[in-house]
Formats: sequence, structure tokens, C-alpha cells
Amino acid sequence: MRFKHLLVLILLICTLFSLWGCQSSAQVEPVILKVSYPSVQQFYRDYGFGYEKKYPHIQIQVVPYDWEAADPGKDADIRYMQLMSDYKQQIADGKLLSLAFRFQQDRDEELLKISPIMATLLKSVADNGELYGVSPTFEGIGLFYNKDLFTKYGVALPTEGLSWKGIYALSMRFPKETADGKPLYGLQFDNNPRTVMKYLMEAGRTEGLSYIQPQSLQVTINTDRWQALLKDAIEAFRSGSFFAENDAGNPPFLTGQAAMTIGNLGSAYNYEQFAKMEVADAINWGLTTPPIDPGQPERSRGYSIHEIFGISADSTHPEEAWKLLKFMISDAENTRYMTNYQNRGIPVITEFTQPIPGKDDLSPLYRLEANPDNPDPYLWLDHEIVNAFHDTAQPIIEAAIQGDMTIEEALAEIELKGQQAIDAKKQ
Amino acid sequence: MRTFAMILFAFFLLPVVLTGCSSPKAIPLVEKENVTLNIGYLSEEDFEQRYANILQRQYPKLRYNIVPMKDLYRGQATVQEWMQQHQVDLLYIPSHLFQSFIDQGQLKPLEPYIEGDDFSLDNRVPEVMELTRLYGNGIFYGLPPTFYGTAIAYNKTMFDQAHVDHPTSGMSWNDLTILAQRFPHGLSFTDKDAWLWIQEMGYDLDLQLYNEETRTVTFNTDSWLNIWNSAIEPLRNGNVLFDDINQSPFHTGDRAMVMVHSDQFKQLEQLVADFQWDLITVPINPAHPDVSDSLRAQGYYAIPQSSSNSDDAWEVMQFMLSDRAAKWVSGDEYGYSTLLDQLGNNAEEKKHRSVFHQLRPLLSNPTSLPDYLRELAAQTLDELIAGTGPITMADLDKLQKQAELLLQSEAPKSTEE
Repeated sequence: MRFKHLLVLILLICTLFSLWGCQSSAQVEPVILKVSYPSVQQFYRDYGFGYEKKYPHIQIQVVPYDWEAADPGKDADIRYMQLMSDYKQQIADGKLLSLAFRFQQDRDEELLKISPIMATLLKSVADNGELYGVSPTFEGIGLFYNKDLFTKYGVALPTEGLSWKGIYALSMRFPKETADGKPLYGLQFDNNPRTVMKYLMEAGRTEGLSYIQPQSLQVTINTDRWQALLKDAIEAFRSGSFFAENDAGNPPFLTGQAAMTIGNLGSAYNYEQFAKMEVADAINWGLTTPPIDPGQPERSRGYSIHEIFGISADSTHPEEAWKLLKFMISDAENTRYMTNYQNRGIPVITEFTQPIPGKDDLSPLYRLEANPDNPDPYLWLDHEIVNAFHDTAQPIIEAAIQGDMTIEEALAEIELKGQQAIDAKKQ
Repeated sequence: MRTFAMILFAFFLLPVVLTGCSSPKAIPLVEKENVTLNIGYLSEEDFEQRYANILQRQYPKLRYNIVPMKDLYRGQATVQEWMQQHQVDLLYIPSHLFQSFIDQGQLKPLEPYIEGDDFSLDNRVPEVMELTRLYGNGIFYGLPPTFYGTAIAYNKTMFDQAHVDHPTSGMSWNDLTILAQRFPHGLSFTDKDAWLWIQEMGYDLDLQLYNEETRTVTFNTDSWLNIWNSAIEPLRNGNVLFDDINQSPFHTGDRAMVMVHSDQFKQLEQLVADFQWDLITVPINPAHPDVSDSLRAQGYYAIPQSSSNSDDAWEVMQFMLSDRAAKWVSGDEYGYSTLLDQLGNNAEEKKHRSVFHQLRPLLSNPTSLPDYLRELAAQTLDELIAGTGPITMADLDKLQKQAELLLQSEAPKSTEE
């Protein structure tokens, strides 16, 4: 008898619970989450649609980002930042919630898969070293090489963790012309400007050498380390094995006339695309890690972030906002759809990167740890200021390559004239 | 044994209790395997351009084919022919073909679906819903995701500087034309010429012009004469202008008013102008001041009678009409969303855009003049503009005579019988 009573009681409780369950699911308050972003449609297609599908009670409303406004993300729950400098400023202004606690407390296992590259870079700009934003993707670079050219000229394939010195040496082992008389280069950059100065700056950046102090705009380049760097490079520059022409049609790596290039994930897809479009023979490319700083061979300064999302300190829906950030960086289904759109960068859960069939593994683009100490002045300064320096320095470097002045003289002159150019631009 | 029976009973009851709150509906489409839907749309590329992979995203298991309706759009096939040749489960019917589909009995009334699913239409632009019902004589045979409208924009600053009262919604053509004459460049059109403007004003007053069946034309009535005369001075003086659609003199502050279609309105919304502007409705017929025929749907989702899977088609259709699909498409390339919530990004946009659907709809289908009569009318108008003084009935009588002669000499339209 007692057992029967107990059973009735259990049944009753079950019924009550299930009824309560129904009610509570019907009572979830609808929430409207506002996101500031340049393109309403793109954000919705990339993230909003999938998020609303997962959380039907939350609606995403994208507020078009007004580039003219003093504070474009003013009324949004989720703030969008394109530049690291903008992100740094918003942290300093107290406009973003710290995510440190949420990352610690959240038990979602997907979060553990997120590449530490994202956190390393995003934490580095906050004075307290905490995370205030996330980025669904990041960019990484790697050394792409033309396997066929290496084989043809009997040069051993590039290995992982080459320093610039190693790249100079490899580059110079290729003749100046192909068998059928076309120009041949050892190395090219994927993007303009492709000048000797740019190659030198890139080598400096790899090793963490700065030349413009971002606050005072003080130029310091006539140092022992820059001298050593230029000494290593000058022979390669003189040999003409680096491709240094701008806007000169298809870059030689695409046409099989450059042995190596530094590129990113977008470059990898481009090589495939180019072969299809031009009905050319696809380049038989290989990929290895980008040039490293011999002092810290396991790390790379080649990573960058181009889209940062944070929770507004004024948000009235921080929980839902956190769910959205989490969704953007870790939802497997959504990321799978996102990676279908190429040129979107490397997903922060790097295992979602779409391999390119028949080609080398893409992991060298994100395998090295991130070195947040990135002296690239373009990250922090008005591009026109940096360009003014660059344009002044370029002919001086040329003169050193011609042997018209010594390396020390050239760097001293770049320091002097480069400073003048920056000072002129600043006013 | 009784306790055992009790446990058994409890076990049977538990699932009933647990599922008690979920509706007794069949499996949702998202979870269904092996469903294929044939969707009629202009073309696969056009569907792709508008919707990209939205259906894969929403229904990863669903297979669908886009059945191109190009032939039908171009009039190379009749509705009946096309429907006989194609097996489709869901259709997106362009506005100009919607009536034919209904008249031929090709479409399922949607009321049973709407009621059965508690699919609310309350959150939709009511005038567009009314328009939809007008086609079906009170019955929904389709539902439009987007619509187009027309409005008049006016330069507030210019009105204030000239100390002229702002125009208001629901003005007659006559009042608007008088108002236009208060400004050197009062009113601009970008979609018509002077004759088409006069014709439109007549049609809006329900005047007869041409009867295709009897091949008779009516130019010379008092009502038409009034319209010609209301227009002639503003035309002579350039108060009413017909501007190139690619030039926008209103945007540079050179026109007091402009008739603007919803698909060109974005340019005005994005304009950083050194003047203020606002919107009013298109002019109306004082005999029925709350209606206008300027409201149009871009197209209608509909379920054909021959659909072999109308339930799943209805589910996809509901989704295509949802706020999520509206946000996915966003922009206004395909018209404004019929969902009130999605009509604009902010209060100001919503306020402006609501002017485009403010007047109740009207289905009017005035027959257009044959080309040679249109040319004759336009030529007559040009001559009268070049002249002086008011237009007389003698002018219109002359036009009428010439038109009748042309109608006699032109061979009747060949009809294929």
C-alpha cells in the first residue's frame, strides 16, 4: 500500500514538473540583441541567422556601423572594431566588458579548442592583460614555394623555421632566367608595395625591430641590429633575386617565375583560382612556416586580426551577448558554412580550416605561437605617415645597393631624412 | 500484482505526460529525410542571388530544385501551358501573373493553412495584405514577402524659404499641380513624359480613354479637357519637369517635389543634403481619397493545386516569409519587407517607408493606348505646349478625329484563332 502511495506521489510530481516545464519554455522572454557592424546583411548571413536558429527567443538586430560617428557602437550590445588601435582605445575608455571571467567560468568544451593565437593577440593590448573581445578569424602568413622550381634547379625544399638569412641564401640559388628566357626570381611578396625597402622592413618586423616609436614618432634605424640585418640582406638585394616591381601584371609566383612567396590563406585559395581562371597550369606549391626570429624560433609575428567583437559595457543583455560571441567563435555548424566563403581568414578553431585538395597541409599558417610583440607601425599609425617614411627611405636603400654609400651611411641618412618626412606629414 | 500494474501504468503514462505540451503536429521539415521540393522561381541564378544558401542553412536535409519560370515571365508560355509542363510544389509568382494563376484555378487557397497553423498576418503591412486579397476576391492565394510603392518627396527647406505651406498626404493632382507652380521647378518625374503624366492624372480620376475590345478612344470630354488645361501652363513654364532617372536634380536642391518609387528611395535616404525633406503620399482621386493603385507586391509565394507536397511547401513558404528570411535578404533590392518590424532599420526609416503603403490598395488595369495613338497624343501635346492660351475643346476634337482615322486605317490587332 505504501508503495502504491509513493508511486502516485511520483506520478503527481512528474506531471507537475512536466507541466511546469511547458510553461517555463513558453515564458522565455524575447530578447533583441543589437550588433554594430558595417554590413547588416553580411553580419546576419555570417552569424545572425545561425544564432537565431540556435536561440529562437533572441533576435539579432544589426545597426549599420556609421564610420563618421564619434562612437559608432554607441547603442549596440555588441561592439565591432576593425583595428587593434580602435580596440585598445575602447578598452581604455571602459566601453567593453572584460571577458576574462566568462572564459574562466564557461564550461563549454568548444571554447577549449580555440587557438591561443586569438587570445594572445587580443590580450596583449589591454594594460591588465585581460581579454575584452573575440575575433572569429585571424590572419597568419606562411612561406609558399614552387616545388617544381626547387626540383628543377636542384635546390633543397625550404624547411620549417627558416630565418630571413636562410631565405636569402635559398633565393640566390635560382638563376636569373628560366630555360626559355623568362625572368626568374627567388622571392616575391604577395602584396604591394614590393620594394627592397619593404623586404627589409618585413625582415625587421620578423625579428621584432622597430624603427618608428608610435607615440613620439621618433625614427631610430641606425642601430647595430638593423645594420646586421641589412648586411645579411644586401647581397640578395644586389643579386636581383627579390621581385621588386609594383603593379607589373601577374606576380611572378602565379606564373611560375618566382620560387617563393610570403602569403596567407587567401593567397592559397588565389593560386588555385588563378589556375582555373587563366587556364594555366596550377602551381605545384608547397607551404611551410613563415620566416622566424632566430631568438624565438617557436613564435611568429606574422599574425593579425581584422575583426574584433566585444560586449558593450552598457549592454543590458550581457548573457545573450556572450552567447553570441561564443557562437561566433566556436559553433561548429556555423563555422563550417563560414569557411565556404573563402578569403575570410583562418577560423579561430583552426581545425575547421578547409584543406585544399591535393595540396600541402595549411597548418603552417597557424602552427607557430603568436608573438604579440609586433613592431609593425602600420598597425598603430596613420598609413600615410608610414608611407612617407617608406618613400623617402627607398631611394637611399637603392643607393646602398648600388654601392654609392655604405650600409652605415644609408641607415644614418634614412634616420635623418625619414624623420624629416614624418615630421612634415605630421603637420 | 497490483503494484506491478501500477508501475506499468505509470510507465505508459509518463511519456504521455512528458509529450503533453508539444503540439500533436507531424515531424517538422527540418528533421525529415528524403524530402524533395520543386520550387518555381524566375531562374536558379536569380534565386541564388537573392537567397544564397538560406534553404540549406535552414533545412540541411531538404533537397530542392529551382524550376525556372523564365518562359512564363517573358510571355513565351501561358500559365496553363507552363503548369502542364512543370511539376512544382511551391511557386514565386511575379505580380503581373498572379491574377492569371488565380483565374485559371491553379492555386490553393491559403486560408486552411493560415488558420491551421495560427500563422499570423497581423504583423504584416495591412495594405499589402488587402492588395493580396483583392486579387483573390477576398481569398489569399499567395503571400508576398516584399512590396513596392510610390510617394512624393518634397524639399521642406525650399517650401519654408518660399513661405509656402508644406504639401500634405492625400492631395489631388489638381492641388499638387497648383502647388508646383509656386516654384520655378516645382515637380519632377523620372519615369514618364508629359503625355503619360496627363494620362495618369486622367486614369486616377477613373476617366475612360481607350477600349481595346471596341477599339474606341475618348479624348474629347470635359473631364479630359480640364486635365489638359491644368497641366498646360506648368508644362509651358517648366514648373513640372521630366528628368532623367540617372540625374537627380531633387537631390541637389533644384526641385521642390519629386515623385519617388520605393526602389529609388534608398538614394534619398542616404543623401547627405543641405536641405530637409519629407514624404507625402501620391495624389489621390477626391472621390475615393484613401486609395491608390501605386502599391504593388514584388511577387507572391503560392502553392499550386498540383503540388504533390503542399504541407512541406507551406512550411518552406512560411519560412520564406519569416523575419529571418527578410533579414537574410535585407536591403531593398527586392522591395520592402511586408513584415512591419522589418520595414526599416530605425524609426526614421520606418516612418518614411510607411508613406509608401499608407493608401489602401486598388487593382486597376487601365488598358494602355496603342503606340500610334500614344505618339499622336504626345505630338498634339507638344504642339499645344508650343502654343499659347488655354486648350479648347476644339483642340481635343481635332485629336479625337485624327485618332479615329488612325484607328480605322490601322489593321486590327491580329488575333490568333
